[in-house]
Amino acid sequence: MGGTVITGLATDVAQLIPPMIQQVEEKIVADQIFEPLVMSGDEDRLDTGFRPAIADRWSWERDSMAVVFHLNPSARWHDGAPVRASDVRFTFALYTDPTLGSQERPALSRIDSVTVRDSVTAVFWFNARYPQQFYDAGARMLIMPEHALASLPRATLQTSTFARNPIGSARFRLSKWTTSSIELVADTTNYHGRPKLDRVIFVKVADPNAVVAGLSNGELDAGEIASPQDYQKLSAHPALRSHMLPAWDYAFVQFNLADPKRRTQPNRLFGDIALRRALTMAIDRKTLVASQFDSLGTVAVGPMTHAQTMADTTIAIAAYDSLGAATLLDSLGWKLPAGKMVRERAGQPLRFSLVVPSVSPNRMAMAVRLQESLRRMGVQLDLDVMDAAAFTARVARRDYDAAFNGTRAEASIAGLKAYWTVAGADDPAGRNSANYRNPKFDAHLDSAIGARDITTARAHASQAYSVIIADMPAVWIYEPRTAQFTHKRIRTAHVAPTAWWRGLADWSIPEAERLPRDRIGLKMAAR
Amino acid sequence: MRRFLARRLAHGAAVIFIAVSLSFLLLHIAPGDPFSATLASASIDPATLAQWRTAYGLDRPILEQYIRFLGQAAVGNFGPSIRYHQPVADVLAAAIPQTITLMGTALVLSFGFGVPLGSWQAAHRGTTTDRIAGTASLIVGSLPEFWLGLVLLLLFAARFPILPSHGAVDPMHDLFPLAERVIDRARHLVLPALTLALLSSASIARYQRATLLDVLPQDFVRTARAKGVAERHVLWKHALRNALVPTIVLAGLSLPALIGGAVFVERIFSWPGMGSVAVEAFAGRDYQLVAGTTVAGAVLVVAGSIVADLLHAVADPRVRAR
Amino acid sequence: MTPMSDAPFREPGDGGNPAGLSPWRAALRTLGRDRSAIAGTVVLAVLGALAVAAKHVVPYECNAQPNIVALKNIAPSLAHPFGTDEFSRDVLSRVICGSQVSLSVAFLSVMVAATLGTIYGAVAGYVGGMVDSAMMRLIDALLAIPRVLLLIAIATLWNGLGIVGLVLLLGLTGWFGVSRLVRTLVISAREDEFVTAARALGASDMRILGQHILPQVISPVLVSATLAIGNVVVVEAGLTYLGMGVRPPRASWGSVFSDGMISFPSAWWTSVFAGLALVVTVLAVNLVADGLREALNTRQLPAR
Repeated sequence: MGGTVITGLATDVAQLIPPMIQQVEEKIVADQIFEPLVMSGDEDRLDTGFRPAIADRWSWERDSMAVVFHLNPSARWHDGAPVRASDVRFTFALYTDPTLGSQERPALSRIDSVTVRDSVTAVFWFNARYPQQFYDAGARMLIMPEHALASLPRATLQTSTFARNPIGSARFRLSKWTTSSIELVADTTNYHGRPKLDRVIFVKVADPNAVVAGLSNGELDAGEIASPQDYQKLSAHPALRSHMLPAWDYAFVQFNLADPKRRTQPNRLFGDIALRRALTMAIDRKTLVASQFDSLGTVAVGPMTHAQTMADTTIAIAAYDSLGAATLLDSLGWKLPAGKMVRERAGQPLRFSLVVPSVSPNRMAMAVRLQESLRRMGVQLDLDVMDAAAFTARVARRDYDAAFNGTRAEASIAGLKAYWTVAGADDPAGRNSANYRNPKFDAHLDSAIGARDITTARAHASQAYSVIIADMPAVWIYEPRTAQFTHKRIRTAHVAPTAWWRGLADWSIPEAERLPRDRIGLKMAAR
Repeated sequence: MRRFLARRLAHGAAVIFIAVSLSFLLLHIAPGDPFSATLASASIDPATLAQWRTAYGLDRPILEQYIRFLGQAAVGNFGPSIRYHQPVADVLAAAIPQTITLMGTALVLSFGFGVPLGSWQAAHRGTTTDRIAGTASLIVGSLPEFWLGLVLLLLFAARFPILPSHGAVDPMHDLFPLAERVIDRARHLVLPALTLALLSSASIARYQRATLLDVLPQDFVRTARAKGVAERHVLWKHALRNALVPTIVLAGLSLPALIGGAVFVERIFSWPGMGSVAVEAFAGRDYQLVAGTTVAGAVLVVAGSIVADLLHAVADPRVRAR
Repeated sequence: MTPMSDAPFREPGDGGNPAGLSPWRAALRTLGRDRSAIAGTVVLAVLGALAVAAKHVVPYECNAQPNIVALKNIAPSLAHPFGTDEFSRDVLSRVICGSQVSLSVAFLSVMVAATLGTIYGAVAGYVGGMVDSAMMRLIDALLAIPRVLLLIAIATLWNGLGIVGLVLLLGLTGWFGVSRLVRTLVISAREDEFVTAARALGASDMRILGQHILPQVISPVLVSATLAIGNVVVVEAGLTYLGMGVRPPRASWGSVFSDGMISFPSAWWTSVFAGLALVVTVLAVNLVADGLREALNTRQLPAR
């Protein structure tokens, strides 16, 4: 038992309230402190491979319209209080509270309610039967303690003391949180058994160069590397091991199909599918991706990644054809006036702005490449750069023309529901910020989610993907792969491809290979 | 002396009051308000927003808001930071000591190197070494901070990894024994402080050289020479005595620039001081935090210049009489 | 960091004006003998010329990305003396184009600052009394706020500044020191015998200010403004590096530097050459300012 793992995070973690998690860095830390009722297996299969977490067994009732979770009676919160079924009910209420706006809310919509049968038994009641019921009920939500949160006003939850001092039930506890690092220590009396490591420290490292320097000189034990040059450099390092993670992110330029000021009106530019097609044809995605990523990235194939089981990578996206794009633009009336660089139609230039989050160096660099690509086509692209929170807010308010968005895919196709269905578009607080409306897509998507078996589900998913790709509400650009580097003294028991951080509690460092900082031990952790 | 101190404090207070008012003015003539700039969660409905606006008093008449702002600023309350999800005061309280440490070290290093260098140059004026030293300090003083910082980072943290590349302390600092903690802090200070110090010491050396040459009365030297005392001995004695006053003045004058220059250096080295906080505030469009850092910067500068003025008054009694 | 009272590098006092030339001619003569100042002026002139003629002088287009796969991050070579950047753009061309933005922003904002500062300082110095006190108290407060923090604050509150906004921002935050300088000069000039005589003769305030006082203010302001140009060029680069300056694909020395950071240190040339441009400019500016200070110090008061 022992050892310290220091890893770098690209951005600050602002708060750790599970339903309000927006960024992957927050998820990485929260997953160490909180746990769901059941853990999905490493492969993140939606129908099988689940392991007990807070719940130690479960059973179905009412012909699969209800699932009963029996909580581990020795489950305890970090402050010593026992974990009860009422905590589960309370957690569900928070996740489905509209004022908190959880990203998981649409996926939980088929759960009607959660009831308490006794202090260790919680029952989930469903509106409908569908293959992912169990996943949605058991694996999505990180359970929170009612006794610590119930009295706090929901509106200011993000700035509450709990947000900076979370109490969970998982194998790590929060020990210290400063502006530059978050320290977690092993929960030695945890009912799962204490983790093999003593502590995990997440350090904020803003500069990608500093991450490389940190991994090189041993300041950092683990980190994700996205750049091909850095990957090559660190691969040669004798003390580091690398693990290529399959791509679970995809980045795309989404168009706002509606007018930013008046949602009922189509966008002056992007309401027209022909223009969207012309722009898609004008972008040589293959060359752009090759230039930026070398082998560390592939061209995106739609709102999915190759790693997803439901993905259908055979659907054709409008191919790069600069001549065809130019002809199409001409035919639409966007012509290049003599001596000018930007196409015009009725005196209006073909010009729009792309909102880009500065926190993603990949998207920033790709945006500059896109700018030039489009400039050669006579299209002027202005870049509007802002940080992650401002970007999320702009996009959510639908106050943009084009946004360079990125999504971390989840194993289930249900992840698309919030972002591309009509309901999401109509709801002013919904996440369909592109205002994409196609009932056919919705129908196929629902069929895929509700299908009885995998083959039918895939067939419906395929059709759903075909519809949305043909509608071109976005230009799907790249799937970046990252490499997870770890110091070779660390034994990573298993690395879940979808979330490398999930197995941190099982990482260990053999006694013989420990560094001085591994030997410090827990005696001082009480500070 | 006490009257002098009182006058200086009053002056300082007036300056801070104006700085605070200026922040308020900026906050209010800027487009938008703290809640329209960023919303962490998109689904917050307009009603809750309106509630928040009322809670923060954004719908009150401007005079009332101003008085409230002044009162809160007086106790250091600048509201919540939406970027850090903590009160601005807490964020600043953690960051200010870091900046002071960096500033202080850089100041000491730059004077410790610049004053002797400038004095030595004055003593050996006209020689080749003087010219070389002068050119070198001219070039070094012209380097942009972020450029120099980057070069040093790459040299000493990546190429020859002998020094840490980021942060003020090791992540496990609290668990080190005392001796190691001191060493840890020192190791992390070296590169950022060196960057700042190299730049400042160049100007200080130039200034010191010129001041000495200006101030040394020629007949004084002639008299000393006639008495048989070595010119160099006179120079050094004079250097030390005369270095004190202009040095203190210079230290006071260079404070705003030092605190400002730290922004780039803090960014390169991920030093968690006020500069980093300001950059994060910008990235997150955090109005309250940005107002807080501006006022905090002014307070630091005023405090520093009061200290410099006090030292000046102690060293030079003529100042007190003014 | 250049404190206001940065003394000259060379020996103080250079022999006065024995030939009795007009003050400006005397100054030019002194300047003419100063080799480093000449070197600095030449460098600045060359940079200025490059900046003005940028589009015609560059070997490649400023923003063109000819081949983002094959020509990306090429080391310096004959075809590309400064190499190419992450987006296959020729760095030499980018630096030349960047000089347009960097130098013009610096020059224009310093002009704005110098004008504002002179007017403010002249009014305060000339009027004197309570008004002067109050005006200077405001300047004290403005000077107490570290400039970069103020710039960041304003950039945050007024998001999305263009070039014009940048010039205004830098100009509106840079006039405080100048005003103090001008005020001091005006106060000492105010008691000058020529001024007293003029006033006795019934000359208006404006006439006195314009004819007798301002000419004495010009040379120190000129020296200060020259130094400020070097300072602002670096500040603009720094702001762009932090994300607050010019937007892509616009080239400025700061943006070339921060583009170079993407592939640093493997492709070191982009950031290094952009930084070098900054260093050369600041050096040249410092040399010229030193020379100016020297030359103008030997100038005698105008004998009108």
